[in-house]
Amino acid sequence: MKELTYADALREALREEMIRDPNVILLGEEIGVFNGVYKVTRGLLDEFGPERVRDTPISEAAIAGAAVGLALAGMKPVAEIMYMDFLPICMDQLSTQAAKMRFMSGGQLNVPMVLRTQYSLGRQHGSQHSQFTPAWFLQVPGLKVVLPSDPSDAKGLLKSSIRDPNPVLFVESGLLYRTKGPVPDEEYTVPIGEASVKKKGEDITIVAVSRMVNESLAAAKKLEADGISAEVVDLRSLQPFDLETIAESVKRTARLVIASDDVKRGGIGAEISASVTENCFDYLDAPIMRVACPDTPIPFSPQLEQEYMPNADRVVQAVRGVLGK
Amino acid sequence: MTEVVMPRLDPGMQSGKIVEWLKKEGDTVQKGEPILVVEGEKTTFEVEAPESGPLTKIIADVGTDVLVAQPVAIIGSPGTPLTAAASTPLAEKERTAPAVAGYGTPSDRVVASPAARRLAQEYGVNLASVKGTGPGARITREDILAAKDAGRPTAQVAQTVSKAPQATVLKRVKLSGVRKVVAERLGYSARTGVPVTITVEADATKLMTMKEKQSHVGFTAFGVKAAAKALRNHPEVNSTIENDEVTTYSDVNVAVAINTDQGLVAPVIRNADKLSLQEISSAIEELARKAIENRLGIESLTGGTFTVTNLGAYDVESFAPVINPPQCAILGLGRIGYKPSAHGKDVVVRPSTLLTLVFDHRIIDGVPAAKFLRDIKRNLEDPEEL
Repeated sequence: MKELTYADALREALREEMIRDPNVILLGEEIGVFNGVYKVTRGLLDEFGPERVRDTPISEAAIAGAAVGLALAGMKPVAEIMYMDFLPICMDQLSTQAAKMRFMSGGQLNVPMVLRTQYSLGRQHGSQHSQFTPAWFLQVPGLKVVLPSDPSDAKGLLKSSIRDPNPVLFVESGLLYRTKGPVPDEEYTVPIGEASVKKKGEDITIVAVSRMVNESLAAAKKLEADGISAEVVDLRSLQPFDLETIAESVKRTARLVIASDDVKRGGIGAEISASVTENCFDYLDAPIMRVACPDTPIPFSPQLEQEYMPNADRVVQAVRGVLGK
Repeated sequence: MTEVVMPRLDPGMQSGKIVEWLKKEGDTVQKGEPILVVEGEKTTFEVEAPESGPLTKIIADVGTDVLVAQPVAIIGSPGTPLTAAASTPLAEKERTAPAVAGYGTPSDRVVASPAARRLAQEYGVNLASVKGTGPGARITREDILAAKDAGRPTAQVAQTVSKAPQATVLKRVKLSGVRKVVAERLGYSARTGVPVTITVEADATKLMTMKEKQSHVGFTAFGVKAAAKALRNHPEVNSTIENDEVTTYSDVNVAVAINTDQGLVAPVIRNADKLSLQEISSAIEELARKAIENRLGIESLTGGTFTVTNLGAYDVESFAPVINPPQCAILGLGRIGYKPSAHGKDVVVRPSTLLTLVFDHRIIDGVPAAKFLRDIKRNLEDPEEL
């Protein structure tokens, strides 16, 4: 097994899939000549040429619309939207077109596109370039949403997303691009819709999303020192999400904390909490608690942003609150 | 100032449930006027105001279970201003009132997690007896597991059972009303009494002949009359036992078990030994109708000294009923029908029935019981004399 950064693992996935399937093409802002803002597409223009790696104008509506058209025409476009905050510009293409085509055509049309994007919370990019809004897409049936937290899952899930015949929103974390982790040498994929138990535990389940998986693992380590055994489940896919794995864990631990970087109100945690309550009520020993961002725009000031962001300590605090310890 | 307390309308009554308040706080009530409706152990009844005056305080709300002799309301002196009247008794009541008003009030709600509630039910742990160690003293899963482990062997049995494959539940109903009374009283009887069962066969030839002539008189009436007549000569059986004290009666009051939608009731036919067969038959019909309509008054449910129960109509040959506490004995009537019977060395086919007496050996011994049952048999075999 080799060590790769999250960004390089994504690059490997793109490269391998481009070699595997000539219909896979990339498009987005600064992905070619500039090698990508986060260097995920480094070297791919040189290797595959401008026909398959296309720099686009600064028009997210055009990028998403072109991707939908390409996908309908039989290509497998992987489009990049530089910041998740720009997705509202693509929303009509994503929600109204891409997510509905297969259903409305009675299965005659497929939209095998991937829209890669990232969120930059914690990088002092301000209110308009830092948001993490996957929960918006919970209201868009027909669109898959994945959000890997480590290099291995990043590679395996991106390959699955490219091969999936349906549109997939692939959400990366800006703060994770430079983190390293083991990645299998051999060919592999990670199935969409399966959560992963990153650490086994007995006393409480922490379901974490994207960057908060690492924070939750750090929290679990701190809790372990105090004799509290926390299980950390990486959600990995938000739509569809793996209620089965979460429920299995909650039924054992009887307690649940959900950690994510989105705004708490109406967020990922709300949906998971409601689903767990509906399915596991009689197994719960305490209210389900959410660790997420306050209901305000994200501050630019580094100090305020640090205060705004959830972290390992907040997870520890929430776990202690739930356990009353 | 007068307290209205939960009345005891039957020696066995432990508590009553408030069904309805006919008056509200501030109303003026007259002595003897019904002010609330209570569901006792056997029936629903109205409680009358013990004095006239303003109803200054209702202590027990609708739905609460109140122990006998505990206050349910306070009536002030006539003319007393409401506020003044209310303040004094309230202060006085502080010691006893919580014991009553506490039942089912929101502040008394047991705080337990859903998981704890599920496990408590699974392991048969009483939530009210568990101390919560979670946030806000919430009873947690661990608290139930600890209570179960600390618990009695019954909890262990329950645990084993819970792990075995469970049957699909149709419904769960908490025992209440008549069902609860039946469960408590017969459970009490089974736990405390020393029941012995004896059976005899009675020749029913004459009974059948007579029944053909008087078809409107039920077999139960014959049984009641035969038992009542025998009881007169066996006062030791016409008795009750309570707290190691046996009481024998000069009145022969025979209770008759009657099946209703709500469950079993046993209304009493007073002085059955002095009534004619016809009168007993009419009394049973009347009581059965009232029982089915749920209109039995408390006066028809108390004071029984012996019980007769009949399952013959359902083809039961014979059965050993549970004694109706605190009574000494109960007679179970089986089916009447043609059966082969030995007469000397011959077998004849004739109508007969099996009479089963269950008696409490704490009160009487086998021989007097057998003599008593033999008298019943003789009475039934010669029904013209009844």
